[in-house]
Amino acid sequence: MKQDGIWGSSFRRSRQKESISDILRTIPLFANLTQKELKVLEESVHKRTYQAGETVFVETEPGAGMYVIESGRVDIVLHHNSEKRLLLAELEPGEFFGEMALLGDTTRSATAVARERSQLIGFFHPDLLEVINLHPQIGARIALGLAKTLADRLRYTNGQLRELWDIRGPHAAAGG
Amino acid sequence: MPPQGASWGNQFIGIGAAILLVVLVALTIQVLLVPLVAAMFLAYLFEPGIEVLQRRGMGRGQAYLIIFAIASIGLVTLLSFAPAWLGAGSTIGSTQTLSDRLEAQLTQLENWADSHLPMFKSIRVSDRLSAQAVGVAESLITALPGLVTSFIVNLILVPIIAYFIVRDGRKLRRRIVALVPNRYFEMSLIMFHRIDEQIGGYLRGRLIECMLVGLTQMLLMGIASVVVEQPQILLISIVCGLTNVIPYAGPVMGSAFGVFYYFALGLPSGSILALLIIAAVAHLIDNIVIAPAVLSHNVDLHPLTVALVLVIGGEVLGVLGLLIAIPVASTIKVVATEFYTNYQVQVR
Repeated sequence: MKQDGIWGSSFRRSRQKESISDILRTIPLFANLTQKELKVLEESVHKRTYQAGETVFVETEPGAGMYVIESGRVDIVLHHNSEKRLLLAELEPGEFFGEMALLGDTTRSATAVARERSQLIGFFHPDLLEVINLHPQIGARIALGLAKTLADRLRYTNGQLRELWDIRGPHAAAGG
Repeated sequence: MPPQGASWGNQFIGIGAAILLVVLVALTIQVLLVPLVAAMFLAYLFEPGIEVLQRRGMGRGQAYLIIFAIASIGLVTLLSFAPAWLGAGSTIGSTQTLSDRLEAQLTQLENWADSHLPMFKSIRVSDRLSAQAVGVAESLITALPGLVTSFIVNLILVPIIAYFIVRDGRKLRRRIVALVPNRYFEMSLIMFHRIDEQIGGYLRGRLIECMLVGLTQMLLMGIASVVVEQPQILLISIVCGLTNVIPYAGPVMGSAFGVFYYFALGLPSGSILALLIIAAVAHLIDNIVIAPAVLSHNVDLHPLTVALVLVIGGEVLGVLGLLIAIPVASTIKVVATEFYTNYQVQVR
């Protein structure tokens, strides 16, 4: 991750050629799963290939789930295709994005664009529901992982707000 | 550069192959539509049970076979040991044929109408209806061997198709989704999920509702049979339960079958009236108690839309059209909504 931001650098891992379950194990959402459970999860994920410059998802579009980068790089941007384009993060292999959409019925808060040819592993809301339904134990562990990840993100945002408060006062922190 | 004649030849062969493919697909759909729809109903009905067994580590195909075996044994047992009051045997031991009885009943009804409603005297309902009934009966007898053969073929085919739908349906869906371009990938995933959720919920709810309505009808007819004559309780209850799948028109169709049947059997008006009251009470119980409890997954279609799609379904595919009209309309609505949402995001 090249840019500072909420997308977090703690989730990055450098890796050689690995299997899907090896990649998934390094993601906090799936960190509590056993090898056998990861194999079950492997059957629920989708492998997608994106060319350089291709959009993975668009800001304000309904979101279906999260992506893990197997290879390549993905940019997370605001106001894509406009003069106010703002690069939030440049994600690398082993990092993930879009996990909030796993909760269902949410819209994308930013646009994701492949910087180079990228292999992504997608895990989506319907897949999560199916896992919870058929393998409740795995589902509970993923849900706990998701809650922890979102809590980390919230803690990070609170930290950023506190810094802003300390530097510029309450009006700046409140967006005033 | 190939000669122009060869290029035309290739185009001709290509177009011919495409037409042949379309005809083959159309013929396959026409032949397999009924068993395919029935198999989908069966697969959706068994799905909760299959998922329970899957949670215990069983494969989907294996789970289907177990549930199918249990359901088949249960059904055969129920039919074999149906209590005498269900009247699953033959009808009243009359030597008259159905057409004779129907004609006698109609003549009786016409005499009553002539004496009370003289303005309808010239219509001669009895003759007309009798001729119509004989015509229908003759065509039914002609078509009977074909109907029986098709019923037996479907009886074998439906469980087999349902088995493959259950075993490979999800894999097939994943393969279809894998072929979708990246731009529409998430949209198609959400779309498939919503269709599955809505159709699955609707069909399961409807089928459970039908069983409970049939059971209610059976119980009420059983109670009524203590007071008035109510033969063929099982047959009429099954028909009332099955026709209940069709919204609005279904309960009327089921009651009409029962009334027509009792009328043709030459039963007293008390039995027919009791049947009508029972059907009305069963429908009331369905609306007040059963439907709100089991139809938690509503397809969210306006009543006018439901009526319209039922008319179109009935016109295009007959009874099959009536059965699949709501799920098909619901699917079209989900697809249209997803495409519209996607379009709105793109133009924003």
